[in-house]
Amino acid sequence: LDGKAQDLLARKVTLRAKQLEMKRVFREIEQQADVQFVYSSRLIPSHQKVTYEAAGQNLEKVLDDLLKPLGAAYEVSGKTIILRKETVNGPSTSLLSVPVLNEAVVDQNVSGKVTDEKGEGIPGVNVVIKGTTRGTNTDASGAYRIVVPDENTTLVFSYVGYASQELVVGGRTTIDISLSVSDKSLDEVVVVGYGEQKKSNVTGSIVSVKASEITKVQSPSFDNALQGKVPGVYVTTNGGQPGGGISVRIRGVGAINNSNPLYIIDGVQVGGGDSENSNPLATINTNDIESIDILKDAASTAIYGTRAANGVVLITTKRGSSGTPRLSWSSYYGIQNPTRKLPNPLNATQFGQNMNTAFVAAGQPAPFADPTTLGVGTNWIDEMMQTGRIQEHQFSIAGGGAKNKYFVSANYFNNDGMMIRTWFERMSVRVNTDNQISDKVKIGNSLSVARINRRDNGAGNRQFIGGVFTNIYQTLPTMPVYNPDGTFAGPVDSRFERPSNPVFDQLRPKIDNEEYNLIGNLYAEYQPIKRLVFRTSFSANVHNGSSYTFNPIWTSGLLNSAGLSSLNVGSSLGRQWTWENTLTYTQDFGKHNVNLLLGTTALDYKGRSAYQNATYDTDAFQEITSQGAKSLSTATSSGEESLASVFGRIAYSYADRYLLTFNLRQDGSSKFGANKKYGVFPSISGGWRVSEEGFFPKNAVVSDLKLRAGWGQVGSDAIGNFMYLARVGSGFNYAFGNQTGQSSIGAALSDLGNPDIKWETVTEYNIGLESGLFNNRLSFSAEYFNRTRTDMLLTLTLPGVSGLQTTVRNVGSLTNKGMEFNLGFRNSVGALRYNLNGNLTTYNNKVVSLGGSRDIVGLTYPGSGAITIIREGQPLGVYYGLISEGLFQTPAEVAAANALDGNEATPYQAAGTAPGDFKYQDLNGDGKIDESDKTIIGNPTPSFTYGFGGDAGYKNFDLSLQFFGVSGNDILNLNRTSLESSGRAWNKIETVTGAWSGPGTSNSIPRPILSDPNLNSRVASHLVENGSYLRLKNIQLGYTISGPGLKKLGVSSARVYVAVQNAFVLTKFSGVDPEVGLDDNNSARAGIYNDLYPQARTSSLGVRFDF
Amino acid sequence: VAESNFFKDAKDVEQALTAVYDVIGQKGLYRESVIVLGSCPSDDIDEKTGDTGDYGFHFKNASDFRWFPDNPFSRARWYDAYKGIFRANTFLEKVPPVTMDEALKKQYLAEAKFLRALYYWNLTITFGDIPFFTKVLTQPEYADLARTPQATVYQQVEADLTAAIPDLPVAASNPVGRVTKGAAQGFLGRVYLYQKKWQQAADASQQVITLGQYRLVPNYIAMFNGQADNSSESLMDFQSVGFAPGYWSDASENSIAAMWSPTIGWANWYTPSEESKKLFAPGDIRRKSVLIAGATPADSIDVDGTGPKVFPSLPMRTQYFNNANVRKFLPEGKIMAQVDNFDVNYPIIRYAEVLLNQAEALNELGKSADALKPLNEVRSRAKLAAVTETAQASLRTIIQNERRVELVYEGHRFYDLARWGQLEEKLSKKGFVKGQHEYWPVPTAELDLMKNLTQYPPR
Repeated sequence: LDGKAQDLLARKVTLRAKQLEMKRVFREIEQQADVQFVYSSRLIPSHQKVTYEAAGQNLEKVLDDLLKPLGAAYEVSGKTIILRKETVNGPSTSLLSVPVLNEAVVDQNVSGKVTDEKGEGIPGVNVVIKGTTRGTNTDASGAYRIVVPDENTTLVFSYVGYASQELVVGGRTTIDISLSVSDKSLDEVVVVGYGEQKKSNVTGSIVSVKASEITKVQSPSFDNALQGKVPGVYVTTNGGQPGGGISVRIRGVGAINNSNPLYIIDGVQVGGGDSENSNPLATINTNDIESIDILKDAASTAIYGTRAANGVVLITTKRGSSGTPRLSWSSYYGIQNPTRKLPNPLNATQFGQNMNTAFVAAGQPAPFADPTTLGVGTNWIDEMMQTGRIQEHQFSIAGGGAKNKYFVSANYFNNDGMMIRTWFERMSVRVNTDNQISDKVKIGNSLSVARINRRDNGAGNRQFIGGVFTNIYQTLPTMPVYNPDGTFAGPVDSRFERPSNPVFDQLRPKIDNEEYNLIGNLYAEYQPIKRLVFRTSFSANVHNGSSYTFNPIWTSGLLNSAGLSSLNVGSSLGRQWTWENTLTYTQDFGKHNVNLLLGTTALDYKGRSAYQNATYDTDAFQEITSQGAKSLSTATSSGEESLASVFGRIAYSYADRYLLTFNLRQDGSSKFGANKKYGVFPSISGGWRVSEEGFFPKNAVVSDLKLRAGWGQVGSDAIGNFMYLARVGSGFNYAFGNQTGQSSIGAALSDLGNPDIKWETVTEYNIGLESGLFNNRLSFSAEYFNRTRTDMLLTLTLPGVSGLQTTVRNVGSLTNKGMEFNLGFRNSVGALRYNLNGNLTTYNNKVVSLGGSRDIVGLTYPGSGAITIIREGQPLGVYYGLISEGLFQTPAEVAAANALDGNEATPYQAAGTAPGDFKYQDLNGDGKIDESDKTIIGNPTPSFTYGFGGDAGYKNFDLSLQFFGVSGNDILNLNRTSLESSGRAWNKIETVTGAWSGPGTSNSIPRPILSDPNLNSRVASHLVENGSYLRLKNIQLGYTISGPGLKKLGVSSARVYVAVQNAFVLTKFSGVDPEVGLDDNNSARAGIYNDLYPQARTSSLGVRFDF
Repeated sequence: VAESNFFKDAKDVEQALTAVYDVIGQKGLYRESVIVLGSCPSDDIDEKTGDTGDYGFHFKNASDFRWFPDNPFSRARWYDAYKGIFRANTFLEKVPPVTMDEALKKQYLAEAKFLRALYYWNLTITFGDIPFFTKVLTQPEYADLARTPQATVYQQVEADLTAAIPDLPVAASNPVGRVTKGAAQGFLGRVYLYQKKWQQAADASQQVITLGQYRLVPNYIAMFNGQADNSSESLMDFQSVGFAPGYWSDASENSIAAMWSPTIGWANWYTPSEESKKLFAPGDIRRKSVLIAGATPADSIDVDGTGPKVFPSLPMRTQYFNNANVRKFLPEGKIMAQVDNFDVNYPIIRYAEVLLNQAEALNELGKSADALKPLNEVRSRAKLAAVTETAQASLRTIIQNERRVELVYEGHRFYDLARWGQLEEKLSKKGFVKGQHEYWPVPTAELDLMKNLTQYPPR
């Protein structure tokens, strides 16, 4: 018997059974000792009633007392206790006395037959040596044969629709086993706020994702792998730059402000901030994650109070278990290319022709006598892009003795991006331990340290105007990369605009950005009396970053650094501690089960950063010194916030049939003024397991059915600190006395503040159904959710006449309603075993009220005014602009439009409007185009998102696929305003070769003319495109080998796989990628496409060794 | 800092006042827009080289009367001036109760009133009737504002200046650059002149003259090349300082001339018109306002501190010049390749203008003979012969021409033509349309945020 089993059998159990069914006795023991019984009802008559009392007895003693009279014995495997008939020479009695260690390792043959409850053989059952991927399948009669290393080997028998069983081989050469139909999926444990619950007893909307499902995606962060996996969870990447940002929205865009969920890793709050451009979750090594539990509804999240308005993601990392150390090594290496071909810029000849037309149209001489002599010129996209490389290596050891367990891992991840000189590199280590230091006290820790070095060249900062990729496209193809003398070329022709040489910009600066992240906690559990557990945990999340950029003196054609070199050096330190205390108590009163939780939490964050920049007229200084600096400036900033809370939960169940959970939390936040500091967040939810009822037909098509409903309120304080205060900013200096560097310091009100701001309140109810059909082979769930957000915290743009920019107010309300569906199917045909899954979520997002305010401007664009607005009765952040009616084809059409207001002398649109210019729709019929002709022209919110996929195994092969799709949303393609524009003297995309050049030549791409007198670059309906897409997110094919050959090398099993991520995307969208991302701080900036680092198609080859 | 902890003492008050001044050096006021809005759309400047760079594009649009609502310079005029008005309003509300030296407090309040008047004046000449208010409002109140008639704005500008004058010091004690009595009187004179209040304009100008603090600088160009910042002629200068790098960024406070520097800028963003090159009578020392290639005698300028060189000559970027370049505000004798050398002050108001204001006002009052004295003082400095004409109409033309030459490329011309009723006559060849281009359209985003605000031109 291994140490783990001894540990388990030493657990204390208290029972007072009076004519209680065996089944219930076992269930009681399962709960108290955290074990699981596996038995055949033929062997142990579960309805048999017993009377038995035990007060704090060892589990071993209790089992002996209970089982002996039944003629039963047991084996221990992991947390599972397997009951079977006692045999005279069986290992059951001797198990406890067999010396475990130091036996010679001898390969041993085991064979047997796997049957179902009716005694019929089951073909295709997976028989695997535990801790390895080595195994076999049963044949058509249910028989199997396998070679095991020694008698300590545990075999795992698994088959879809049946409960897996684990057996220690012992001395046996024949092991027959009977599998019972599974309700295992219902007995899975789900992590809930501050605890765990059996999945079958959960009354909230919680989805659990296991480790095996998230490591299939080659990404530095786990959130990427959730895309398409979970109904109600919408994951979108904000560009494909290495370590780039990812936005996660649970049940739709819930807020105008930050809509990110709350991430808790082993009890530590992480991320939180802006994940738009660089992903804070990338500091967490995906391979260390055991499971992710996503709390979607307010009934589940209310226990997290003010931070839970957008859902909660609970991440549990792997921990050790008793037994011999289990080592594993995994690596992959892949290459990356854009998923879709990037649009071509004009080549030099096409550019010359376009410019000639544009210049001549504006009455200026054509710049090129014969554009065809320009040839193709430089393709700056080719110059800036390369094949990206991605690799990851992970080593881990897990193990421990009876009382002390550990999990240790080391990880290296490196991604060299598809744009030259962009990268993301991470090194991380983790140590998790658990130590039972006495019967009553347990302590342990989690600790992860990561170092990250990254450069995304601002490509991640998806500029709303301009940006890195826009610059690449605009750069003139007539310009070479290098001058004949080998120096970098720059723009030289002043007739054109002057986008800089992007290759030079990318290669010139010396950049070193490094950050360290420490996330850890220490916990202690104390069990003063049975059923009562006190847990205290102290967590820290420490971030330290340093940035360094040196830009030497440079000249590149017309552009130069004004004779100065520049240095930017920064450092930041942030720390957050959390102290949490919980008390849990569980008690059964007959069929009544009560679980109580009471807790407190305190959180404190403090951050400080300092940035310095200096310029010199020499390249000699590569560190900042004040001596010789032509300019020197320093800025420091700091932030603090704190939160104090108490919370509690009562979970009640009757006969595992009727379930009720009640949560309450009170929070106090530093973000609000004295009157509005505290908020109370209640929730209630209930479930009814219909299939447990006596009247529910047994052996029917529907094997399991649960109905549940919940209601809750949570809050959000997702605004900056001190927004309730009127604040004075400084730096508004004036140089009295006219002395450089001697400016007087000026300070002015920078924000009026709002002392009355308070929590946003989210009230959500949902109704759900969970079912299992055909012995749970088919699972189906459906859920309706309705989330209303009131007192929305809105950052309102103030009119410029106020002299200020924005103010924060609680305004109006927003609803998100929808349906979630999830379908799973598991089956096997011969040696082929497979499972399929699919999910779909519908969204209905609507601004119910703005509290009497008129439309709120979400986003403005030069020359166009508001381009997104928030309007009552509409989805959040709809696009707003003129409706384009194609191009004017003839002068007569222009004249006719000019005459619409009864006076042909006043222009319909603009004085310079001519054929080839856009015609906009005169919505109000006043014969002219102005602001009042703008209307809603598109909606960024998808009507539904969906995912589907599956896994299959055949002999040693395995295959998995995952698709993700979005449907019914629009994208506003602002990129075309600059790259298909009429008026700008820079390079454009290939589509402008189809620009209007005479009546009937085009009705969508306006004529080239410098200065664009008609303002064809206005945001209008022709820029709104269908944003639906379907992506093959991931496809992976693996082959597993094991056997004596490998064993000699010390390897128990090895798996090799090839994977392609983002294999393809189907869409009608014309830009680089339809996944254009979200703005984490402004939900009214969704679906705006301008400058996007393309998504990568990653093709990789990976291996995994278990030792 | 929380506002409740601010406005506590004299130091806070001084910092708050500095922030009101800060706006002077912003893009929308005396750093860039003053020239782009005041001189580009006039017969002094002709952007004809077709430069379409990000800045030049907008210079040229302003010059050619393609007055789109979101030209960055008209936008900046709107946002920056209102920022200054907000700060001044806050200052005037919060400072009276602060415990500090009462005399100094009075002076500070007077300075804030002057600055509020300066910002409102800049707004109304650009946009005409404008949203107008003199205290800090709430968000819904701002959103409800509509256009207030220009006359009301002018009333308040006059009231602020009149109230400020008694409390302002005669000469700026240290530090230089603060508002003085003379600056307020001189500016009030301009404000009256713009409203054709001739008697008050003449009187206000006379008060400046009577102060005896100011005299014309003999070396005219020295006022515009950094060698005579805050000169005896200056009633008030924008205190420009070198603040490298980033002359494209709004953070810098160097002068706009970096844009047309012969060594780092692109002169065709701000090209003297052919007409303006010929404004100068023989011997007029103000000919140095402009650099002309091939001029006789040759124009020469020191662009790198090594002594004057003939224009254009290397290392000047000759290929970008149309044989001419505005010379005002170039930092002569310094290395013009370094943007932080562009710390040339910009005159908000100078004594020569006060004299011309007086001359014009007196002539309009029928006191043409009296007008000759201030007029000839200006001419005398330019080394030109005295004018003796006393027929009102003829003298009007002479004064108008003198004003054009004296203040050329300083952002006055468009507004002078406007008040003389000559916009259509002089500028229709550049694209000016009556009823369309008297004022700029407001930023489009404001129309979405303010339901009562209407766009210009009203169609």
